[in-house]
Amino acid sequence: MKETLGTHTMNSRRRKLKIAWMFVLPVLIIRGFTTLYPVLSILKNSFYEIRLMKSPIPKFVGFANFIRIFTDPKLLASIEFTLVFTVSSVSMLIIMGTLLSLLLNTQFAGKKFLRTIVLIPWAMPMVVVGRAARWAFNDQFGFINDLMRRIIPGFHLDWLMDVSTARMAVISVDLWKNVPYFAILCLAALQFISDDIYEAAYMDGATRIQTFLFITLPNIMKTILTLSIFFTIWRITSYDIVYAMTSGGPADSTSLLAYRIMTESFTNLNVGYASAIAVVLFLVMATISKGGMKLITLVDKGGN
Amino acid sequence: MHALRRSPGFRIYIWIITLSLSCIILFPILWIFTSSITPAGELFKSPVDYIPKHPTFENYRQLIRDCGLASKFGYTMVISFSAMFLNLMICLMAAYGFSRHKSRGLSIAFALIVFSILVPAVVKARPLFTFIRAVGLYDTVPGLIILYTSNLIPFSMIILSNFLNDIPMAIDEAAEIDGVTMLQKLMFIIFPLMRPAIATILMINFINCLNDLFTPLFYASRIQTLSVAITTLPSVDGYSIPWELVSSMGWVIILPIIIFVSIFERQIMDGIMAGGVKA
Repeated sequence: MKETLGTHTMNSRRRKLKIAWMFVLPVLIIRGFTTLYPVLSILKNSFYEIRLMKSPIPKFVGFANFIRIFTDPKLLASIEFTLVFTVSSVSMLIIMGTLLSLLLNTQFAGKKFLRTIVLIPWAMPMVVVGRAARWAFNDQFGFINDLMRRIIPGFHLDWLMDVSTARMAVISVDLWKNVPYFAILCLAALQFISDDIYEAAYMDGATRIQTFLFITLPNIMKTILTLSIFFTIWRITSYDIVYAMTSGGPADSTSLLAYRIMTESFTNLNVGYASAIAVVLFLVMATISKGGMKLITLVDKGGN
Repeated sequence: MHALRRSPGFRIYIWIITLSLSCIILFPILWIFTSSITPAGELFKSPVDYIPKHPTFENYRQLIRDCGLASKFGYTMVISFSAMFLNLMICLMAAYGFSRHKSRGLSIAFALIVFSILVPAVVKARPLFTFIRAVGLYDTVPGLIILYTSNLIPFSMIILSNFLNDIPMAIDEAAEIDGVTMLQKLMFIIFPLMRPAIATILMINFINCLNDLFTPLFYASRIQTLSVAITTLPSVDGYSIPWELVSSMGWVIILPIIIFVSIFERQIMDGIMAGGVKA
């Protein structure tokens, strides 16, 4: 009796598990074909020379594609700008985003208005922002130089035609769109800090800066670090902004790594090489996430 | 910060920052709007007229007449809403499977789905393109719906699973004792309880679908969504961007977004925060 009961519950458990797998199957199939399969596929392709313009037959070349990455001047320029873009954009995002999140967390009559305004850049498609920015930074007819000329008459600068100003323009557009997003995510952590702590600090006569440094900042540090990892990864893989705003120019100076991969694989049809760049990009991302997670656990331990 | 500290000086300071911030965010958007109702010829003028002298809807008319705005709008809506619906169905089922049954295999599968959010679109583009073309889904509405659905899965899974984990198993067991079928239990008991989570993912997913440029750009050519269409508007000399058309099409996309965001400010805010902290 006991035994049959045992096998019965075993069978029912197994049956239920089978049902569970059937429930998750559609999601697994779709995600499997659209992410797992392509990742395995680029891993394989990165060791082959696949030039669709020359011949459709892949040729095994070992690590040649990877070696080429470090000698290709176009790619080195992409890596350079991707680094500049990521480092400057993420550090500004952290500073401006944190400050904005403090403002979003303030109780005042304009709170609902401010929060709505801040959601608009987040919700707008990057392609719309980028296309508008392309015109906004136009020397003669764009509004940026127009406003400048109202302060400094005769001001002329063709932002998107010069390497350093084009890069500055791309970074500032990225900030316009994404500082609000960073701030909203940071706000989530701010809302967890109880009012009692602030009240106690106030009673003890702490200044506003002291309160921020010793109460607010330690409490949101972990979130800021987590967000920095995600925003770094998103910056490294940004595509839309360059596509819409500069098309990589002038002279490939704003072509981010993601944009270069797409140019190699869809315009130059150099699929093997593009796969190798994608693999490197993917490894860099994995390292950043892994290292970042480690840093977070360290900070977490130090805090407690 | 705290109520005690709100001196009048502090309040003025907060308002000054708020208003200057609003200018930085709203001015470009307003400029897009005024450009869109300015006749094309008057846009090539310096200094810029921020209030158009001869406001006109001609640019919009041209969008509808010559640029097939209606079909692009139609495609965007059909693809977005179908993907949101399909994603909701399969993610609800999957979230139920993951949260009500535990096994090693299932936890690994769940982790794979959540971490697959880290695989960027550019990394998988070429093999996925070849695959989609091989199975005959390239440049088709069903193909785009499946790809959009796939993009929505990780975020939806995180939100739905977290929510479902907080609904006690006792509710399931009570239903089973009453002898309802699995389908009845899900349709009439569990899913209605999840309404807040469902509302959250629908709102965030809607914005994400509208924002998607990459998917329709690389996995379709004849079918154009609004996000792709804004980059392919015809310009007179083939080089400069046709700002009168770009600004009006931009506004066609922005206006619904502004209305949507103003109505659902609270829910969207909570939705972003719920997904972000866990991710």
